[in-house]
Amino acid sequence: MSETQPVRVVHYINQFFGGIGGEEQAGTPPHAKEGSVGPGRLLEMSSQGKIKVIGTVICGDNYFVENEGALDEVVKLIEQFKPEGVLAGPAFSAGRYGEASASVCKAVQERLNIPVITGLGPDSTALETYRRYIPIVRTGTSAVDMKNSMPVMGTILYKTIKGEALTEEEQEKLYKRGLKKNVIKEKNAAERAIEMLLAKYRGEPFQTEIPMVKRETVPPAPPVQSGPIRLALVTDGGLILKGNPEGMAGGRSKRYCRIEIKDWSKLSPDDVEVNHFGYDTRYVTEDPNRLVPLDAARHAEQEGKIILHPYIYSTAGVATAIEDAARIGKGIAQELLDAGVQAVILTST
Amino acid sequence: MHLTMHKYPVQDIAWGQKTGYEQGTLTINKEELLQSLSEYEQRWGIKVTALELVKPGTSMRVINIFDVFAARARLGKGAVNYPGVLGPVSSVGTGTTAALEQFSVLAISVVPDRYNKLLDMSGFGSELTPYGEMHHLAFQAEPIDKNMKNNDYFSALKRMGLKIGTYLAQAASEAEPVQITEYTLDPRPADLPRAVYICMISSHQRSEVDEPILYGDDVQGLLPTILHPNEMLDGAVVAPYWNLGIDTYSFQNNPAVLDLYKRHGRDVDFAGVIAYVAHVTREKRARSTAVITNLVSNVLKADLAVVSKLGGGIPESDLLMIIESLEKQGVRTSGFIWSYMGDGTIYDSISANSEAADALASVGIYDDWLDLPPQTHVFGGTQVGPFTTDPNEKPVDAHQALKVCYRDICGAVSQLGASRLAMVEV
Repeated sequence: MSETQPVRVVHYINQFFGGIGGEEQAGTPPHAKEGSVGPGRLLEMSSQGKIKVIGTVICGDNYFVENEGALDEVVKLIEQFKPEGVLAGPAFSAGRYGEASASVCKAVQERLNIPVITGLGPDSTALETYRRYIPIVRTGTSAVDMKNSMPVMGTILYKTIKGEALTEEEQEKLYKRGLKKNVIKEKNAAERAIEMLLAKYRGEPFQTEIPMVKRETVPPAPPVQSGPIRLALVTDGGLILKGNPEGMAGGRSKRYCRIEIKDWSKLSPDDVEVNHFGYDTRYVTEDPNRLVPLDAARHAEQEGKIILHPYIYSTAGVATAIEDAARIGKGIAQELLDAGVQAVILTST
Repeated sequence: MHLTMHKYPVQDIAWGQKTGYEQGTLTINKEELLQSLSEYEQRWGIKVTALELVKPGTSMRVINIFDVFAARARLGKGAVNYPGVLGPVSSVGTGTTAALEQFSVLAISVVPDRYNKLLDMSGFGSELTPYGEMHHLAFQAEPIDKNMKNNDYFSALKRMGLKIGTYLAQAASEAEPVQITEYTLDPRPADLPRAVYICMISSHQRSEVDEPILYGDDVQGLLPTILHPNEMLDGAVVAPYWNLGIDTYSFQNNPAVLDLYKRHGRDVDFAGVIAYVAHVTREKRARSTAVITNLVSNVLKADLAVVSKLGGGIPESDLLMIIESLEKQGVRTSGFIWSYMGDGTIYDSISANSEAADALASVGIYDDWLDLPPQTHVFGGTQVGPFTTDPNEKPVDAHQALKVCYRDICGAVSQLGASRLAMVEV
């Protein structure tokens, strides 16, 4: 008599897995399709009737990270299906897709209060930011791993929806969430510390129990001694060309832009504007020189103190992953070094 | 130094006619014990008002625990127990000492203090602390003069707890010891890495003048100093009044000292213990780190150092500063340290950060909450709590089920590394 009803799931994927196209279609806005698309079929098949993909929401990678409202649009589309759970990706090690999959899961969990799951590779930039909030399955780095990871994600999502406990093996497939609890160990803390000490001395592997935050430290450059100094202006305050022809994001930045200033004596609201969702931009929109001091720099140039680099480099430094920020910084620094720039004024907001 | 420890493992305790040890049972004549203490009650200004035998596996909750003491007596003519505290100043660590094992004396304070601990002898709480498996004699003592200052009362409680321990161990020593352990660093092993234990013995974030800590000294201005490990085992160090997960028992049975002794000649050459304190001014803290670094790397010429701390936040960064400084000198280090819940993530666990500290063992999250089941018997008062800082919360009946922090359980979060509690990532 008893017939198990499949759980009703919505699948979130990007334009590539949605079969729309590659990078050239990355600007595709969010839209929904009935039933399963692409890897969603694998999800249904591998679940042996336990999972029904009632709808698929597809969004282009660029659209998602560059449009503030994208997340809301995606969640609204998902909500319309009234699903019991949401599976996003897997995104493997893809940057924008990983960010989108993980943030969709987090938002769905918070707003719709239903189980979610995504899958990311160990080097995914979204992992550190999201693992404490949502369950994330450990996948390979590319879609080659799809056939392995999709069934695991399906099983874990199904069990979570049904309120069933995960096996130890399934637990192992999830990334640790970076949370903590007290347990009783076999040896006391002093003995474990001494064990670690000996392992360290002997060059054997050991695992600290109190992990430290590892940050890259950059030693300050020595002062520039003789002038005139080749100086560049850089900002993370979201300075963009008027009308945003380059499609810069107002936050969660993945890239920077270069604004040519060689013909300008100062910044004018006729040429530039500000796109940054992390602070009140009214005053610097009125006078962009208060965000990036081109007027003062030109004055110093006239006095012969500096030679100004012909470009301002800009990004929007808010809600940006540390990994992305580091990549952006290194990119700007390399361009400046290649141009022989000796010093930088970086205005941050 | 050569210390011979005569060990008497306690498997049961009972009131009886004659105080002594026989076949695993410690029998205590209550009247004689109280009588022997009366002289000291007058001297120290407190009166022992209640005594209780506390056994593992019983439905018993001991509350308002101020300190835990091992029961030890130094034997032989002229031997002084706890010099500087119970007797004239001299040194300890050589000779023969009788020790009741798996047993402690619990001092119960009548001064309400949120740092006092509780101990359940059954249920989940008893599994979190080594004291849940041991036998104890708990005593409550009150000031004879109601106007007695807290500091004088605390000092008297310490002395009384140590005194009761020596009385019991002295009586037990009339029996043949069950086990004899020799503690000596000689002969020094060759070709093994030299290891030191760097042990904080007080934090001046909160300390008192005249607190008897190191040979009775209040260590107010202490510069780091070298101790022979036997000195710590034999009663040179008494725990400070401020009980943030420490007790005298864990100095007397110091787990780092005992483990390094076990490895002496096999894995390491145990080069000694460095006692230090947490100071609160920048200059004094820097001075401590500099002196420790010099003692470890140039005087003791150690290759390895394990570091621990007491107190709260300042000592956390002291510990990391010491580790950083030693690693720079090529001394390999590890440590053990407690952690807090913070934002609930693994990376928000202590108040300081240093990538040099890449080998830290956890003694547990002190402010995480747990539920304790009710207990039938209570000793040490009638009410407990509040365990939160909520001003509206009132003390509750001590028999009932309680919600407490791990730090509230006697011995569960041990900053001296004696418990098996640990933080893990999930």
